[in-house]
Amino acid sequence: MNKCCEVKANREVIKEDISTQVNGGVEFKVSARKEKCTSCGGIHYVMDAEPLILKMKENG
Amino acid sequence: MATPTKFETFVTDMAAGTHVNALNAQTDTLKTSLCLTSPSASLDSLFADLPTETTGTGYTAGGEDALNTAATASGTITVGSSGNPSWTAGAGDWDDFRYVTLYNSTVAGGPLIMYWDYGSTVSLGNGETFTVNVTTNYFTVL
Repeated sequence: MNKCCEVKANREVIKEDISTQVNGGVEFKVSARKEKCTSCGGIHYVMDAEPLILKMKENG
Repeated sequence: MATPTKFETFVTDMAAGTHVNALNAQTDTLKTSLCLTSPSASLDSLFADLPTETTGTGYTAGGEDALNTAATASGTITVGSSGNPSWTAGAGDWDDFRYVTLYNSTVAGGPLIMYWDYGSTVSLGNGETFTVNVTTNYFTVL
């Protein structure tokens, strides 16, 4: 990746991949994106990864 | 954001202490790998169970270091990241992919933890990059 691509201000979103996923019976909107560096034209795909939360259920 | 799907065996592995060194001592290396076909949360338990892994110039078999960090707090455990795993295609020979899997590459067999769905197929061209933006952390046990 070029140095210019690491500058957030140089990143232009050229395509958003938005879809619906079902996880545990609940629908989620998924947003991932294709970005272009306005300086060098480099193409970058980015997926925002949501954390997994495991809950130990208590009695009662 | 891409929501994670946990592999069912991850819960039993946690209870069995399979990931103890990843959780406490940070001596286990977690990795992220790419594939085109959806993994099975109920049937897949080890790395070898996953669908065919992506190949291409700049992609190392087994995937990329997840840069995991370990942190424990009172009553909770959080495994975070010191950076975002990413790949740069060194040529236009990459297989398409869509799913990102997190697994423990230090433990024998590579027990699976969870996967994310990008939402559509990615065709990575020469010089293009793919980044997993770890928004907060990989997982928390409450």
